[in-house]
Amino acid sequence: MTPFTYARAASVAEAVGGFAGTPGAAFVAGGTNLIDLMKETVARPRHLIDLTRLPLAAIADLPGGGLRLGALATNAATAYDPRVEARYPLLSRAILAGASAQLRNAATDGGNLLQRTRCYYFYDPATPCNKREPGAGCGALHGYNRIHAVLGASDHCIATHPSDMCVALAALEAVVHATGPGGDRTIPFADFHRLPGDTPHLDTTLAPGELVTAIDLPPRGFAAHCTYLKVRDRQSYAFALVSVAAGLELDGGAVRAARVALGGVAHKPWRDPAAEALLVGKPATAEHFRPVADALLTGARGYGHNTFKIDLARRAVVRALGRAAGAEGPS
Amino acid sequence: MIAVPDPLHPAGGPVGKPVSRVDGPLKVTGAAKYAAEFPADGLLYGVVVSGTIARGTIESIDAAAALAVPGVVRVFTHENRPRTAWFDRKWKDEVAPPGSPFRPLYDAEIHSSGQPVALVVADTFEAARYAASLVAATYAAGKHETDLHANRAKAVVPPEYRASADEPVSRGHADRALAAAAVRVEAEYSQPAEYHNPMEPHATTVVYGADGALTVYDKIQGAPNSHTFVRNVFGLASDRVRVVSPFVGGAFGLGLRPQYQLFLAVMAALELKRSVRVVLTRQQMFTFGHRPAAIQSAALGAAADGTLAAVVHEAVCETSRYEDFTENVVNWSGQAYRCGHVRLGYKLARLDVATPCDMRAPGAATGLYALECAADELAHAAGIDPVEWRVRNFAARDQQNDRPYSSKELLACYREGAARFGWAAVGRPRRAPPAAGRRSSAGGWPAASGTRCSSRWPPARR
Repeated sequence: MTPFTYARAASVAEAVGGFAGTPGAAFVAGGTNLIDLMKETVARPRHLIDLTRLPLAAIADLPGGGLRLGALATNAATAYDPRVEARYPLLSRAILAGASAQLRNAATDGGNLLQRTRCYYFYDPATPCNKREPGAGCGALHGYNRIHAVLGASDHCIATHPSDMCVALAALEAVVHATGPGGDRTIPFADFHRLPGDTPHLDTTLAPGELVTAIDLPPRGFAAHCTYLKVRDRQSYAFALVSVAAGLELDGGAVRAARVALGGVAHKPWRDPAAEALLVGKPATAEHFRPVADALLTGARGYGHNTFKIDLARRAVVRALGRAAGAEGPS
Repeated sequence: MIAVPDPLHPAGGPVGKPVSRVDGPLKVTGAAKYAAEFPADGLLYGVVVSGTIARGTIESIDAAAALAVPGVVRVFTHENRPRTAWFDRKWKDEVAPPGSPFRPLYDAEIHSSGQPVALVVADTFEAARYAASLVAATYAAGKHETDLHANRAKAVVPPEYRASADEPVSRGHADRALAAAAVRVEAEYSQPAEYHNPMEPHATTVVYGADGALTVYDKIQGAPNSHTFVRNVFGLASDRVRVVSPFVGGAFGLGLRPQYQLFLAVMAALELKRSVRVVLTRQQMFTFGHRPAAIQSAALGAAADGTLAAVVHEAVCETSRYEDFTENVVNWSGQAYRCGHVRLGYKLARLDVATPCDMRAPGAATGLYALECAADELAHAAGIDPVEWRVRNFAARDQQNDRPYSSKELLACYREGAARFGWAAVGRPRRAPPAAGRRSSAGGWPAASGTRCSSRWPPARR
């Protein structure tokens, strides 16, 4: 680990100001990802600003029926919050599909959004990685890429975003609140994470020094018909090879609204509203789910070890929508 | 048939009852000492520097910055290590597979990723760890081959087997029987390397005695193996080294062979005439033994009523370039079910990886996974309940040797297991068999049975 200094922020303003005034600063909350990366010397902040004492841990109702998750609410507190369980079971299930109980107790919602990829090459400083060291090259492109992206990747980076929670947040069209030197702003979830392009060292559209303060869940929770399907090598404590967050609103047997987001396949949770629109007005049956899956996977490209993910993702979408519709057993 | 009392299950014995482990209280209270926990006066701490390429040579190692760290006593590399044994046979431990064993810090050649390239020894663990991060090695990297799938075509029939493995034996005319079978399934099964990584990492504490004799606390499943290894490699008389291993914090086969931390700790202790401890990191626990990656193809044929007609089971497994690690992967398929036509194949792909080692039901856990998956697919294709299929194809005799088993209660296990599972209600195939040439993705619950050798030897009295 590289030596660093440490300060505990007493207010949001102090945290933001401290970042601006200290070269090499980084925010830390639960630390479940950053501390690991520091031990591996992948992350080498010179100064840590501890956010854990800021008053951002509340989960509160929003006027109009939504719910606000404070950035410092833990993943566990969020997943087991009765309002989340009742109104956003998709989010609750996605969170509980990830990590371990111990990690979920420490990890925060804001930190979950900002966790780094689990690409093996990103984690191994002895190998080239454009995300870790811009311009160094990509070890995964022609290396072991079984866990890597099949959608939206570039020749600079084929890493995936590892979060389960974010896949559900994408499907639910959450809104991220951030504050920084430029003031407060809101970011639609679809615009929060970015594709790698030729700047894969940037995971999100947050500006340097900007801080996530809250995540808003809109009133539509798809609570009656939703599922989070996670396909992985182990049934516990493993990242998704492919995951699907699916939510349906049904009108009799017909689909009134559909949301489908994929995890494990891209640099960000993968959604395509045009694909979802294919279902509107159609019966919630497999024959209508397959075109959605095909549309979502349009342009998918395998890199050898991960080519299986394309078919796997298609089938996972069909199964997840079937489960959400209640056709194929409990989720 | 004569009823023979089973010495492993005496009447009134502990089997089936909750019995506290003799060492349980020691382990849960922390009183049990593991290899890294034995104290010694003036103990030095060794930290291993791991290589960063999978194949090639070390061009240079710059230890100047590490040596400048206060408390650092020595940095050992292949360039300054003490002399050790010359012949391969001296390096072969009791369970070494055929080949030429890996020698830590022997020369500049890199055989696998994470190979130790230096040992930093210091007064404190912290100083050693920090100094280890400052050791700068440069390499001439060769083109490595570590991908089993990409190199499966280069696999060879092993010229020699380990003592615990046998060349698989085929019988009958399996390909002909398969071609004539009413129901056929064929599939490929692959699995990655699996690593033991037990809770206790590999560690050695060498206590350097006043007379220069060594007491070695080593993580090993059999202390005599480490004792012989240390004596042979360092040319020590038997009474000059004592190996102690009272507790093992999980090993699962990874502790069967002496590993490189033992060599490094003993080397440093002998050279510095001090007590030395070397503990591997969690990451370094991925740099040696593992269950080998495997690609298996299995083809089964059956009569329309599900009676097994042919078994073809072939496996390609990885090994290192310097040792042929063999295990019984496909052999079980000649024994598991009654079948006159069996063809078995087993090959090794020599890759730029560390030699695999035994891991929990070595070979069987790999091979039976493929056979049992294929058996389920065959039962499904024949439209037969997978448990019923196993009952129908039960092998009452050891088919390889045409001998009766001393006992085999598998039929009772099927019945009991099915009853406890509620199999009659949930286990039947839920869907019609798949159309010809297609595999079904969901055919009800799968079933599987396992096999493992239960070795017994004639007793001897001394």
